[in-house]
Amino acid sequence: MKKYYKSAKYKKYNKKHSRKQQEKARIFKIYTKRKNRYKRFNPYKPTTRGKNKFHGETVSAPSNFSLVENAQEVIEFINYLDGLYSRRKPVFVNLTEVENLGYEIIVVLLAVMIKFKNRKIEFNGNYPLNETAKRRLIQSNFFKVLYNRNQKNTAINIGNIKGNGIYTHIKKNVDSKLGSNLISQAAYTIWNEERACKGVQRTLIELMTNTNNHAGKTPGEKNWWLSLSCIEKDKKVIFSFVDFGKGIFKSLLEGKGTVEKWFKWYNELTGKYNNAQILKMILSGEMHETVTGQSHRGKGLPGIYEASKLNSLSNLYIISNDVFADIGNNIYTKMSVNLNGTFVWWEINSKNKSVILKD
Amino acid sequence: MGRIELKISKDFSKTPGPRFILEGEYSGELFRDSILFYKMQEAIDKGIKLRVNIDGTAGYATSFLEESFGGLIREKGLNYDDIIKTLEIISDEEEYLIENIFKYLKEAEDEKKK
Repeated sequence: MKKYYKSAKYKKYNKKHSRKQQEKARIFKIYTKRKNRYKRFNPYKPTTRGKNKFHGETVSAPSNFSLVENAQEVIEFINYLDGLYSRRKPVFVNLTEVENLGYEIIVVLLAVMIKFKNRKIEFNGNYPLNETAKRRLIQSNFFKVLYNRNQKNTAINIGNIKGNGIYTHIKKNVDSKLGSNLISQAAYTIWNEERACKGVQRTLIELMTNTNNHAGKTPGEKNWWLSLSCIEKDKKVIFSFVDFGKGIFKSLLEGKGTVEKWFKWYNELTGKYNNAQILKMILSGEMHETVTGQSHRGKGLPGIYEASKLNSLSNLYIISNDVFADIGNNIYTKMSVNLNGTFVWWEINSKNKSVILKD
Repeated sequence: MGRIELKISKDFSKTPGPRFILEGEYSGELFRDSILFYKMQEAIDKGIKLRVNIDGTAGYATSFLEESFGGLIREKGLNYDDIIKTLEIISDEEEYLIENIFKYLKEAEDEKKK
């Protein structure tokens, strides 16, 4: 046998054979690399084979995946994810049936996803089959955050505002400079130049302050999330602001003022007002409700309402706890579901007030 | 008769922030304690007007304005009548804020009397 392996004929054959095998191995390496890259940006259904078996739950998003148009179902979906989060169960979000993906839902999905990632709970999903919804999700750079292994729950900035796209920021404190910069950049989408939208700036500062002060058990505990969707063809910018804190009414329920406590006791006894009616009264200034019990405080929500009435912003929606408010159309509804947090949505377009800031 | 001029966007910040210093930068509390109170006191002592121009900023939170102006009475103990005699507010961009600021001053005075 030894003689055979040393023969020239065998050595020639072996050389040729090993060259072929090396080439095969090289091609296979390239194929695997491409396949893994494709898998990273094109999530597919989880495999059920062997050690990669998915031990979590697949949750299907509603077909009309928009908080503004379908609040009830979307909040049920968010609350269900919340339940899985508290049980540390991995989640696969099935978006294939989504026909309409609201601009505002992206920031909500991002917030939920980062919550899971921070606790190292597996969170994955697939694309909508609907092309418009799929494009919107990809444009938002949602997957950039999803697959960023180092993504932490700190300030993130997905993209600088340059034309069409969805831009998201997450922070804890009140940042008036950030608000001003975002607004003036977003103004390009509408007016092709930098402008100040003072009512929007007011709204942003008030919302950031409310989150900072009242959303958590201690000030500065909870993050706020702000997403801007710049839509060049319609010359408008949509703002979505969300925090997953207590919500407006739970904060008020835990408020310190004696007037507030008396009112709550009276309301519980008589059931005269529901939260939807209370929100309407707070916004219009008919009722002065403040978590702190100090009468010179509590100007935030009425200030936002005033900005919308003065045409500084359009189509203002507020969803908090069990209340859905379409401020523009004066519709205040008590829902049968409860959102743990506050969601505010509005848009600015060419008809809204703006100012060119001079240096 | 002389006058003291104060333009918030030039003398303080183009991006006024929240109510308190602890909440974030360029707060109403900071503006009042570092600039507004001293200018107001000087104008009251000299018997001249203090003209505050609120234009040129990115926008105001209501809480910023309330803490800045209402706080003059509530926190700094200035006299309401002196402030009303002294203060002039001008704005081309947000005229409605002038009325709001004087409302905050009145409310602070009413709260003080309780």
